[in-house]
Amino acid sequence: MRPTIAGFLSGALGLSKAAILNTEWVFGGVPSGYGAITIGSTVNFDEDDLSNNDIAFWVETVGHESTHRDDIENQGFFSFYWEYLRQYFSGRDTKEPHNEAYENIDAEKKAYGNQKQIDQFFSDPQNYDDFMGVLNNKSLSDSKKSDLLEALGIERVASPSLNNLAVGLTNKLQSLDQKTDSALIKAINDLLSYINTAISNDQKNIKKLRS
Amino acid sequence: MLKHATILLTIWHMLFLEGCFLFPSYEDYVNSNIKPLRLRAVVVGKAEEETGCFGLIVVKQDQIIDTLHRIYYCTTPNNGIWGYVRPGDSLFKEKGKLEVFVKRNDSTTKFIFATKTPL
Repeated sequence: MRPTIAGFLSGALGLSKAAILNTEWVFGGVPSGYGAITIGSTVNFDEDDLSNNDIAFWVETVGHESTHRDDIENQGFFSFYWEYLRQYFSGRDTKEPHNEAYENIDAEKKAYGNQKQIDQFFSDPQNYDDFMGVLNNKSLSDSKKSDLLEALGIERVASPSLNNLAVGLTNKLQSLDQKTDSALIKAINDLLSYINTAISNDQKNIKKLRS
Repeated sequence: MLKHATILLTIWHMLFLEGCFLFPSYEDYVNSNIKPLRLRAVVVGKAEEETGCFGLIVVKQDQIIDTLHRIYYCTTPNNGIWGYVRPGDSLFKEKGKLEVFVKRNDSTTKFIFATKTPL
């Protein structure tokens, strides 16, 4: 995996760069009907997709599988797959059809959610141009490209998500009653304070990465 | 050490077989739910599904409202029908095909429903 893409995904989704870079990407060996699969530290890609040069599609798919890789590194191999299978079969036990049981696995919800954020990023032509401008700039080292793409990921994906969350929580605060919901109000205010600190840290990180 | 490696290998194979035979394949879903449809429909609306990267398209055909669920949209532009369509567009699709034509004003754009998702 190119460190440049790892930098972008790290900034945009908060995934560990080490988990992304310590992944072996292998073409082939994907079950029929799937585009990619993560097993431990290996990601198998569909061979048919080799001919696909669409950068947005690739970064989105890498974002999905890297989310699994990050979770495997954090939770441990056995724990991750145990929980994955447990949630799937638990869904099947409650008569969910295959697709619903699969889509309701927490790890898949998170991976598709992350993938969707990258999809939204690339759907803006300005973002696409800025991303490609850095990626194709021959005067920059891979290390500098990684930093600039990480900054882009923080600025255009991570920070807007935090801002949206803060707006949603602020709106929620206005609908609460000071007397009856005091505990919830305190919890939301604590969360808002945490989010504002994170946004402020993001701004500092962006400056540092671009310097 | 050998025992540990054997357990790992067994689990790896279990997971791979689960992936092959037990977990749903999106291709199976599309082949059973989208491919058999014949569409001469008008788009009434669209929305995102609960899980990211999947959307639904509401269509009206023969005065009947129907919904195409689980359209995967984090994909290449030629598969990106969900991102493209908007209310008022006309959809044309033959039974047994994945190609779909979207007519908007005087232009027609061809898409192919995506069949593969990451696992």
